[in-house]
Amino acid sequence: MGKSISLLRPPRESESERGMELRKRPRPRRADPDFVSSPPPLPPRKRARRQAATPPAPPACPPPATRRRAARCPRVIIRGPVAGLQPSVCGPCDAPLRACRLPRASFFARSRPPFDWYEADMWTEVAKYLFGAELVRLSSTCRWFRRLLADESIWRYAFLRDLSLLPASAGRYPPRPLHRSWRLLYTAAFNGAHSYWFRRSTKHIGTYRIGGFLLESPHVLLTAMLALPRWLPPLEDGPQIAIEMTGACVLPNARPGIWIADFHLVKCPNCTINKCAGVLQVLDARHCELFLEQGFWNGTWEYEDLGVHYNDEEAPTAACAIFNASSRAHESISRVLSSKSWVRRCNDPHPMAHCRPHAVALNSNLLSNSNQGLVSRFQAMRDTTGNGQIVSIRITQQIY
Amino acid sequence: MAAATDDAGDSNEMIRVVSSDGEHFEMPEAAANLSLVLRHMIEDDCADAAGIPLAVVAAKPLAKIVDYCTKHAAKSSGLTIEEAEELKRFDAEFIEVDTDMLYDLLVAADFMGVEGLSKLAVQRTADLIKGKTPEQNRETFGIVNDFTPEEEEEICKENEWAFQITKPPSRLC
Repeated sequence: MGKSISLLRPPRESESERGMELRKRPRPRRADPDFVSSPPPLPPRKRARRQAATPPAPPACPPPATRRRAARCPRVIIRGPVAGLQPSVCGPCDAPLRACRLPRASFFARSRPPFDWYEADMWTEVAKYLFGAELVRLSSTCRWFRRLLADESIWRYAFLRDLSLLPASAGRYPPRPLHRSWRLLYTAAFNGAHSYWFRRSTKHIGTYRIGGFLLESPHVLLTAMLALPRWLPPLEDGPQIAIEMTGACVLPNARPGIWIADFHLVKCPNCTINKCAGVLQVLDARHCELFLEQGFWNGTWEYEDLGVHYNDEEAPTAACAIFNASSRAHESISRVLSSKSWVRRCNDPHPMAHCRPHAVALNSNLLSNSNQGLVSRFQAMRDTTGNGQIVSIRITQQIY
Repeated sequence: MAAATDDAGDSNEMIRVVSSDGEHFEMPEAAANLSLVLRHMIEDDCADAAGIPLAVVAAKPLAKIVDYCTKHAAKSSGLTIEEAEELKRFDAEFIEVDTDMLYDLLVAADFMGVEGLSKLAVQRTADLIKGKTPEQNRETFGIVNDFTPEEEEEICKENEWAFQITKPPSRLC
């Protein structure tokens, strides 16, 4: 056996030397695994090219594979950001070493037809600046855009950006609700629908978006002031007693996830009191999936009263807030409660809202100081066909 | 210490670059440093008298980019409010170009790693799209509609809201 190899070697060696010289053509797989002097059979083609490209400045690279290919190559010297860092021109023939092989090079070299902006990365970047409706309209121009803009990451970015929930670092995106695509969630959040759309719509005056916030735990604290209650009755007593006594309550079973907060102005439904301004302010928060639920649209789920808090003293402001009572919400809560940083001056009657990742608050200054107090009504909607979690919360405030 | 020597080098050294169609351009080193690719080439001592060849960038966009980098490099540190305003005005004027040039700038800025210009061009592209119907978008960018009428109808039906709403909901923050 050994003898036969030694006999065979000389002719093969010379053959391999010729192969080393050219180093361009893929070698046929060698039958003899003991044959060690040849490079491994599969990678050599590419590797040989790259090695040739490494020496700096006018590189002494091996002659090109064929004259035919050299003649066909356009005179491209650097292509692509990676190749740009190393000289990749072939000295003797001035032909690029890699350009002629890759489709992108020919893409750059040929003259452009009227539209060849088909650069996916570039358009993904452009998409970051577009509102969802514009994304949809762009995606309905042609099939290429439709495929590109169907990408979930584009819609996730748009959804979180428009709810002011974009994380500082890309790794910390809030989790996606199960079984829902970001595109659907975006549509549900920004297609103009709101919770007054389908009930009592004649009473509705206007709506503004406040932003999004996260519930990381099912515990939510609702308050009718910009302060934490000093004391709360035990949870078992239910929210009604807590609201009546302190103007705040904790709900232990809200659906965790991304919530969307809106501000509504609503006509007073039963306005019999003279002092009543006739307009209620509503802080409305809902789970981002609420509008994708059958139970909401067929009217099975209804807002239920949790309780009403009467503040008999003259109230300079009407304020309310919703906090996530989780351990990570501390910073959000303290930012929201330091109300001086965000509420309007006392003579400005326009409402103002503040949204942090785990909390949301609303404040309106009341100009007429002759009011006799403030009524805050707390309502919640439960997922009555499922596990009974709270999916929407409303705090309505009315001046007496 | 290093910064001081860098500064000294910046002020007098000119970097030569060559466009794909063989035109030569010169810019100060500080301006070239705004481009990631050029900066790496300079750091690796590849910038010689022959100039750095940029194969993807034609002469016209390269002239604009040299213009942009020179302007921005001159005003990079310690901006007063007026200077920042002026730079903004310069940017706004600079990017008022047709779509062909905009495309060239996008590709070139991306290739050369000029971050500010990339952002500017992307923002401009997005501005061109905003508030337009699909038909207008096709016209702006020369896109060929390859949907069948049935498909188009289906898309319209699926995304009815997007054809009625033109801007994001008004915010209260």
